[in-house]
Amino acid sequence: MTNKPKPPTSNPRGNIWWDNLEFDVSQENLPAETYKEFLEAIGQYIKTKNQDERPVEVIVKALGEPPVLFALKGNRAPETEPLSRVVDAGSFTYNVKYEELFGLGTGAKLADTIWDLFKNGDIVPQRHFQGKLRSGRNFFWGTPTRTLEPLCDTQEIRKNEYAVHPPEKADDVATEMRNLLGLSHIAEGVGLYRIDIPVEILEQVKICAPTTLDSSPLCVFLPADKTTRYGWTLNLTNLQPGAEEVVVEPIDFTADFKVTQIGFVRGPLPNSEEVWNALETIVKDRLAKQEVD
Amino acid sequence: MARKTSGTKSRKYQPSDLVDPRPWINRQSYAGLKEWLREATQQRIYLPVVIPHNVMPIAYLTQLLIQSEPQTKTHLRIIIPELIREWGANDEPQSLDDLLILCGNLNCNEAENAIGRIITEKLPDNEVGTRLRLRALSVLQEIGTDRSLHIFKRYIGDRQYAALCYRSLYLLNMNHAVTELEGMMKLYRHQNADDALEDILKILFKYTLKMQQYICVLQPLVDQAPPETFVDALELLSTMNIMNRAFFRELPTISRVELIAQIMKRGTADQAERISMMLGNCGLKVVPPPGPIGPESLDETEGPATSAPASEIVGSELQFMLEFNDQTSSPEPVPLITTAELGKHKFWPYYRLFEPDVESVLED
Repeated sequence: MTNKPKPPTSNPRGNIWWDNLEFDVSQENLPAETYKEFLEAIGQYIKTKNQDERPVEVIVKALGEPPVLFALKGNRAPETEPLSRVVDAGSFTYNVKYEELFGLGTGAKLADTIWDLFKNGDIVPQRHFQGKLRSGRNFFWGTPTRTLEPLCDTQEIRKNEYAVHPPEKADDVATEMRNLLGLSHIAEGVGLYRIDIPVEILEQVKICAPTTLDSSPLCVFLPADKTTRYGWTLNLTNLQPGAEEVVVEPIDFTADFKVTQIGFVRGPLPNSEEVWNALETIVKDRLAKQEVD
Repeated sequence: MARKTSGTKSRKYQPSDLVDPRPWINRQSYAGLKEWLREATQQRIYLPVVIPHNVMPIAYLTQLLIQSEPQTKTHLRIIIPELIREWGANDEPQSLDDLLILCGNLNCNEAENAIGRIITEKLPDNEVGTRLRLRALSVLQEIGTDRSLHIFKRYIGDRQYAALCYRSLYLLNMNHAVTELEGMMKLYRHQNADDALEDILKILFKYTLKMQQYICVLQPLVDQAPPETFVDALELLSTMNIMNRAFFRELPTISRVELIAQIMKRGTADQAERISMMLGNCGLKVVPPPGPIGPESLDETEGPATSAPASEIVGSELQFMLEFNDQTSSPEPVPLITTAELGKHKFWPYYRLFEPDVESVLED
């Protein structure tokens, strides 16, 4: 199965994605049937659609949802444990009922206003939290809370709402968290929140180790190997595997979640060439190693 | 609802544009940008922008476009209103939602009329329609002018949209904060939604006005609103620690006296204790006068406007002596206002305000 030819690509980043997928298959992270269906979808797409399309476009469109075809298909599920999701301040606004209850406008200053409201204890989870935890596709990425907890102490603002303690460390923690989680799309100056999801809620939803089919064609991500039930981020500080990751089906965002306002990311992202080169090296090394094994 | 198909050929871009699409976006002509944005919002295919796998596409796209060059933003401020205008009731709700978010964040003023029409004509009265109308009103708050006043006034009576419309109105003209407050209080109190009412007042006072500006709303409120409205409102603000000792301390003397005098003057008999308690919470001690005051000292033309428990009533009027209730301040209080200075406010022959010790207040 792994010997099937890869679609040609002029973009080395696309090769990382295909190498990761090959690794997924070799490690039996993905059901064989799902892999087969995906290749068929790609083949069908190339056959019937515009021949000029680039491989990245083909992947994006084949993975495009709805319908949900290739997400949350990982073979291995981790033990249920508390998970966290780290979001930027702009994304967090979608989980606050800012229009109906606060009467706030949708504009460039919204994230700052919500930030201040949270900081001052004026966001009441029972009344103001809304929506679901999810990303663009129909699931979200999470990290074991135990990975993030050691990064900082927290101080309660109100029930289930926290801030970093001492406050002067908040920005350092935000930067460290951005780097550890490989959030290469989050630039300097962006505020971060950490959302902790209780185990009781996670027991009721599907969680699995992420596969390459859960990731976007250009992402800083390393799939699980046979020995683990987690994928890995690429730590942007040392360009080595960083934190464990899982994918989780969407969950209603409620007052049961604990939210910590972290701080503002300081310091630029590392050079993207270096990041991709490091990722490519790790991916190739893993493939080479499993072929030897 | 089926997605629209573009039928367009593959887009031209460099491999490096996939890693950082900003140069590609900035290179686009008006037509190219419009075609791309139409496909992005209608089909959710954003290439050469590749959405990171752990974010909401519109959140990422918004940040990307906010960072684009001025010329590109100028194009976008025309294109986005055009795409909003093209949106019809049979199109994807999500595409309108995305366009509205972009519109608000990029401040596309040209969309004002189109959004107004969407709010009033194109959206159904179901769950999806309500959600989109909320979003549209929230964007109109960002870009709207007096031309949109009628829309905010039309929807302010509907609880779902009331908070947005109230804020939108007072952002256009702060007088609306006063004139619309009575209706808002009735609407929310009728539905036992005091918490939600607090949210609205919090946004107005804590996140919009500076403390020195409170008086611009409070004075006309006390001057114009019916007593039951302004006393309720002031009580709520006092409970929320918005109208507090610091606020009165910051006020210029004459404004302080004017506000308190007007509260006392316009308050009704059955509100006397509440007013007394409310002012007390703000560090103002309200005590009965030391002796009976004859009706002859009252200005009959003012008419009886206040009253209090029987023990404190002389004739039909209530006599108060107010002083800053700061027991730790200087033993020799400095009168800040005299009866004569109070002018026509003859209800308060014993009105005196004492300057509290500044440092002790600050320490509070």
